[in-house]
Amino acid sequence: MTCSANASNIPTARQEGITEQIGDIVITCMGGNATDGLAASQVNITVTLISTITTRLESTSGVGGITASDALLLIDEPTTGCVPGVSPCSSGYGPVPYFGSNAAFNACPNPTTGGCSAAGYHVVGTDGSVYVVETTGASPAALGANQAPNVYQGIVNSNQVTFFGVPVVAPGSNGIRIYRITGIRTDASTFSNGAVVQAFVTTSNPAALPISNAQPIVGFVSASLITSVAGTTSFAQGGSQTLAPAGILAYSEANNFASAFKTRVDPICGTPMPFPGLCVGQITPTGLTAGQGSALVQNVPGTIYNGESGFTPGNLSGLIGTNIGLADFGTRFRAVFTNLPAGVKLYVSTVNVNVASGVATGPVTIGAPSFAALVTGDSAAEGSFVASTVTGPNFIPLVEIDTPGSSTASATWEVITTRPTAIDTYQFAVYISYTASPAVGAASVNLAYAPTSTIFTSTSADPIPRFLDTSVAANLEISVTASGLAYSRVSQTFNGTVTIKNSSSAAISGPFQIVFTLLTAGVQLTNTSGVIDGSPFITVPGVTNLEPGQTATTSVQFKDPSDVKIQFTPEVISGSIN
Amino acid sequence: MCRHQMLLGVLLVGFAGLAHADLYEVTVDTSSITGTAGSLDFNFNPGPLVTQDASLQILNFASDGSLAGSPALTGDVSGILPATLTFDNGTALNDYFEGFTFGSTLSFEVSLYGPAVSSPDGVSTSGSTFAFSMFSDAAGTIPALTSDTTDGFAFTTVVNLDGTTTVTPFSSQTTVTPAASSVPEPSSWALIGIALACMGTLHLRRYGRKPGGNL
Repeated sequence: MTCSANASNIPTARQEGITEQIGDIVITCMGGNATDGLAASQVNITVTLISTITTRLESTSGVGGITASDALLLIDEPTTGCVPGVSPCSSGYGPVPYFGSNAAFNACPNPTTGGCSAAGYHVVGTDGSVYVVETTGASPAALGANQAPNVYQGIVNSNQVTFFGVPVVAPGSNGIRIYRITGIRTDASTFSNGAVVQAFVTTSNPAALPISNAQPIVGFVSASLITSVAGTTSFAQGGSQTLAPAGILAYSEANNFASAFKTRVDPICGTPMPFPGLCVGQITPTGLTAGQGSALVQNVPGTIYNGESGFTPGNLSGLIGTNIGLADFGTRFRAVFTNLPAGVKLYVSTVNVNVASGVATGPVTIGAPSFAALVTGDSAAEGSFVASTVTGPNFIPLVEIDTPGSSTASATWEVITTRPTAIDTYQFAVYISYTASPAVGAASVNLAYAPTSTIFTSTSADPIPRFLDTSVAANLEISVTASGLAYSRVSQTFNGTVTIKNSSSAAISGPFQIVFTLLTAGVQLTNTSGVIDGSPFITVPGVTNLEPGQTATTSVQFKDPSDVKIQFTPEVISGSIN
Repeated sequence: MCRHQMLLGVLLVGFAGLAHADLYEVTVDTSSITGTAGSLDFNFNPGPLVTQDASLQILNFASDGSLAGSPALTGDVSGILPATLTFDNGTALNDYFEGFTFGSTLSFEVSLYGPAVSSPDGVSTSGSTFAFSMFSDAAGTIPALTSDTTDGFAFTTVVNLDGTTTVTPFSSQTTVTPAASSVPEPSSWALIGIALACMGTLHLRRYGRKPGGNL
């Protein structure tokens, strides 16, 4: 018998991810012969990575107190053929009904101590050829009795996962035997951008299971998340604000990584869908459930599932643990706000928003291809959506996230729908309110995947997925100051300057527009660059970037025929206004 | 009691000496437009954001030209040239405008003072700006002796948010020179006066009443 190892379904792993799925390892064997009823050799198959394996451990211990993982080894691609009573096949049951790919899942209940015994038997398939099937040792009976277990759970040890006691039955001359290893996750944050993940497959008995090409590449690592903060705004301390736009937070998939953002399970669904735009297995923030719960099953071996969950056989009898392979939730984004000035109320949109010309123009609605919703926390259980309590500008649903007395706040959104073949961007709106004289300060925000973690090993308690905190503080506020206004009898204008300053520790990209909101009635800004939302603005000339602490100044001219006191509330928008 | 006042006055004069005010000496060579019946304009205005209180005085105005009289005062401004003019920044436009027939020279001092200069609060977001302009017409529409033909300013002085002041000149004929040292704010002059009065009274009591005592 000869065997070779290859990888299938090779994914791109997010460099930020600690629990990234890698591709399945498929060991394909041909030839050899088996003596009917002779107990098959049992081998331990070990997969070794250079990075730590972070596949979930089930909290339930197996025999000997050893904890099994969600990594699985499947023999002969069960259920991919025609399973009588489960997936009827119009053209028969394949070579051997009830066995091999026509078998149902059948878990070996002793993965931690040595597997399950098996023996080979020669049977005649529906095509008239002779095949060797695996039985428990007894003769294969009609209608599928005595099939050998075909699902084994792996035992994780650091950067290795081992499947113990896997029986090896040579397939003979007419068939092949397939060992598919799936459900392995690894800490991709230890790789550099563009690195490959290579696996090393070894067996405890190479004579029984000789493997060539035992070092398949099982993944590619790429940075996946691009974040930005636009519409940064500065507010004067005097006066008050009510739900004033304070920024747009954007999370985008990196170029050539359209599958970086994932739903909990595969977003590709059959037609018709139970709810427009949604897929079985997704839950909506309105409480509609579309297959959500314990029945999140995506169980066809070898299928590419574009979700945080990979192969998920469900609560399969014989396996240790429940919901094997199921992630806890879809990709989440978080924003952590710091240095919030006292007295300022902070609001975020409960869903992602549409943005035009730097302004949030309305909420993205359920059913849109790229939809995300606010959840109660980074690791909150799936479905813990936060209801809107405030309707903001342009009917954007908002919720206040600040806590009185605290200078920090956070928000976390979860991907509900996404496009695995197109670059998605999710944008969320931030607003502030305050009455007179809040404290002075420049709030910052850090954007990253959620939940972030420093647990880089397999555990049963930590969520999947989880990520390294790669965020860099971005400033929500650019301070604005102004000179006095000298009056010119010649131009009959009040003339001065307005200066913006990047108070943060990170550079902010321009161009920069100073918007003169709430300009005193009867006063006209004569050197305006344009008007946005009814307020004049000036584009600060020649400034494409502001380094930390850097300032930029522009002149202003006002017509004030009544000599009333000229006042306005400055807002600074970073980015182009089209 | 007066002795106490004197001590208080001396003490406050001491503080007044610490109080900060910026003083500039301004000299304009107007010889090129001698005899022109023009006009002068001074204004001192707040900014459009949160502005801390500041004041300004025009002191020691002198010229061989002649003021036309009947100046136009707008906003928080008081006084008539050549006497001291006092501006506050409480309203949008604080302006003094007067016709003036130019001689060969013109000079005055600009003193900037008040909380925005002596004790900036660190939270205000606007400064205040003083502008001086000269015109070759009585209506104040044709700028003179300036390169700033758009706005007509000869120079401006900005009170910055950190209490410093910045002069921007637009006229080669105008020289604006910082004074060598700070001067007491006007409110301090009153205290100085009280102190000196007390000192004088005490002096009279001690020496001036001697003859009377002999009566």
